[in-house]
Amino acid sequence: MKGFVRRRLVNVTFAILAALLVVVSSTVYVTAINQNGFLTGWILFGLVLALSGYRIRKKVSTLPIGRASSWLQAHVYGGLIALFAFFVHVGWRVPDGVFEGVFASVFLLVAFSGVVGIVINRIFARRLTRRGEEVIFERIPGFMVRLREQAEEILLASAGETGSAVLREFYFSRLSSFFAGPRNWLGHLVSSNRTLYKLQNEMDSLERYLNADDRERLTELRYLVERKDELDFAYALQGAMKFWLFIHVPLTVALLIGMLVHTVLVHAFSGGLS
Amino acid sequence: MAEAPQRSIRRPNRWDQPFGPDLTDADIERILAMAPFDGMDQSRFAPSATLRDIIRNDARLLSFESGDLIVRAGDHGTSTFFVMAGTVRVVLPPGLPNTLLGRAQPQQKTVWQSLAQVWSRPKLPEVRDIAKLDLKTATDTRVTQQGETRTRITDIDDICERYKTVTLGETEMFGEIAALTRAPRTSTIFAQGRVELLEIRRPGIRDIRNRVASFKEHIDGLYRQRSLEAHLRESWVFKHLDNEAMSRIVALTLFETYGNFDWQASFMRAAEGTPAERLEKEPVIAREGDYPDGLLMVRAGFARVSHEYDHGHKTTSYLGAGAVFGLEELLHNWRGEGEPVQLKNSLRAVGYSDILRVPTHVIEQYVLPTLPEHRAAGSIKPAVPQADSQASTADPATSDLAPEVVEFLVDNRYINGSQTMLINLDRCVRCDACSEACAVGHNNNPRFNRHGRRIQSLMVANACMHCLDPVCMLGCPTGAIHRVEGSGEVVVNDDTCIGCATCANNCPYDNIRMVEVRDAEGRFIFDEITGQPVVKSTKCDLCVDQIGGPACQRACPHDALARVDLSDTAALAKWMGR
Ligand code: HEM
Repeated sequence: MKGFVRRRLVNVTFAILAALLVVVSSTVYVTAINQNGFLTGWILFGLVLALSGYRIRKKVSTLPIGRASSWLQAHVYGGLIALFAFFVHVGWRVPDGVFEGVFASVFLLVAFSGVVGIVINRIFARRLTRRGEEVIFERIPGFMVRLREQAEEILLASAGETGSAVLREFYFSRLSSFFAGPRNWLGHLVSSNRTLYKLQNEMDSLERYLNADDRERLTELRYLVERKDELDFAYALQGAMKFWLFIHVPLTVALLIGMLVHTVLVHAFSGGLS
Repeated sequence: MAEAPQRSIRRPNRWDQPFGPDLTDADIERILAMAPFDGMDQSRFAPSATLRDIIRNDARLLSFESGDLIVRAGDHGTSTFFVMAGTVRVVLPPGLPNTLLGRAQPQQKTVWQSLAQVWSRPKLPEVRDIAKLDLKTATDTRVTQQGETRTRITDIDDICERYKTVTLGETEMFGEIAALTRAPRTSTIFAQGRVELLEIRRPGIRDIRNRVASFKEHIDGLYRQRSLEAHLRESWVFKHLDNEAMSRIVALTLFETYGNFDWQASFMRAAEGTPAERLEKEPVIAREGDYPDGLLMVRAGFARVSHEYDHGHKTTSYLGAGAVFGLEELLHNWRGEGEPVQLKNSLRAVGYSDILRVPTHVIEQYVLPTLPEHRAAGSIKPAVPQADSQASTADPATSDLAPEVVEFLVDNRYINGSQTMLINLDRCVRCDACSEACAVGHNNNPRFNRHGRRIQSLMVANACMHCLDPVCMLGCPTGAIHRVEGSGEVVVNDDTCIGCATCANNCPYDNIRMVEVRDAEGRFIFDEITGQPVVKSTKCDLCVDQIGGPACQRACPHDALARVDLSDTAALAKWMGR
């Protein structure tokens, strides 16, 4: 069995056992002490703290405290266990009260964004590898500017030599905005190549109106359009792989604050064991 | 259609770039009149490469002042020296301390120092402690009128008293074994008083060795006596043999060199063209279908194992130092099971290879009858790579790697890497946690580029590979770039680096970056004498001073990045097949 498959099997088994343990221990606890939610509350408290600790591990990368990949495995499966423990904690119901409602939503947003994030990571990394050259995210805007400049040079050359209105009009109506910056974000995320296909078709249909020189220029433009689309693709996918963390991480801070308030409130108003 | 105009170039010639400034006729006469050259029969040299031509183009005269270091133990060099005038001192083991050789022994950081790197890093890149750069140590460095950099040990009397040394005088030779075998220099040698040396680069020495029997005998004798047994014992095939068998084998082993010793210079040109053209350029060491006349062992350099496949050649594996070729065929023929077989694969020099050829009858007499049982198991299969250094003869680990991956690694000479940074792009989420971790460990300066050549989903990133054949170390004038004693990482001592960029220009993989350095306030630092900005050579040091080892690898949350020893193809195949 391949390494990653085996690891997944072990981790899933472990997570299921841990989830069972949560259910059993909370049932026993509730039956014995008749205090709903305290045990699962504290389990969640510990888990959320541990999950947030992953950020600290990422910052102190030079200390030998385990590989980040082992931490991420623990994080992902710990996160899933926390999600399950959360549902047990709230009794599989929608919590009432404004604070409780907001607090629960924050938790769910953090957890679901994590699930979405890991799925995005796994799928988009592969898709990125299959298409275009490898580019560093921060350099993409610079490359886009260069492509735009090249496109404009082609247009200028055409204006100077043939003065063709067809190419110019097409450029200003369709291409200048396309080259102006990242485009078609959503389309690339869902694997749609409609924008590129449309542009290519439009360029094909222009060809019959152009003289030989401008036809050659159109071919060059077509090449630039394809390169730009590749950059858009890389920008969209790499951007998405970064963007989800802007939900996951700041909301973690809100979650930690909320968790503190919630814990204090619950203990202040619990009135002790009944 | 009009035919494209033919493009012609002038083919580079061997002596387009002489080794040093032109020697005068008087210099050459003087050299030829001295031992050992005076005793060489000049008629044995080809008219196109006479001894005189060799001296003129492959040699240079160097002068050293008292205390100047000539070679350092551990340096990699490809030339041999002859003492023309004066005497030199050879420091015997254990040798001089690293500080005297321009090197630094990395100090492991404490837990607290490791942690403090997170917040105490300078904001600007390449900040240095100016007090440390302004060197006042037991050595000093100067540039001669010819532009050569010399490092001088200031107190040689003290050195001679405290360390065991021997003296070499006029007409004596040193450095020949390291130059011929590309092994690190074994001793440090410095000038005692004014010294004039003749330095001959390896192609010249190789030609003289081929033409002058007494010279060949001398060098080969030294090599057999000092290194051959140890080299053979690097392979499991010979490891278990007793001393008597070993000394017979040592006496009968032939050594051969294929390819271009300065492969790094022509590497980019070699990488051009179609796979067939590239293969064509590689000298054949053994050809598929030929009679296996001996067991071949790679002593240094690399070799490609391939076999014919329809109209092309399929590269099935590559061999580095210590690996053997032809064992499976020899075993099969010796056992006499079925028809005798010829070589199933070809072996070609990649860049250059030094080969030890142990004749078949010697192998049959001493090695095959004593092979460990599990190694000798297995039978011959058609066209399988049978060469490997670790596994049994019939179970080559390399067969797990796709041929196109093997070809990519060979063609780009990545097989030289002992700590190559590989990134699995199917798993990499481009988060740059690796670069950030690297920056944390290096004063806010990432020491690699998360970019590089690709084959399928495998990327070889631009990070120092800590090569088996570290060509970057050739010619460093101050010894600043060196291997860490014991662990072997290639590192640059920032304090003694003079920014000459020899290492960066030598590195065929573009993994060394020259940077201008700043002081703590962010101002660029300038050289007092030249007024030029102070430049330093920088590269991945494999986090030698960090307690956890390479931070890049440990920081990758997605198991996408690893530092891999590419000579261990089994480990590579395992990593890729996870
Ligand atoms: C429920 C409580 C959770 C909390 C408090 C939490 C918190 C965090 C924090 C603080 C980070 C560090 C981000 C950074 O510094 O880059 C992180 C990263 C991450 N989390 Fe969560 N997380 C939770 C649940 C989950 C779940 C359920 C999953 C997935 C099943 C998940 C998947 C991830 C992933 C994939 C990363 C980024 C890994 C990387 O590239 O380094 N998280 N999380």
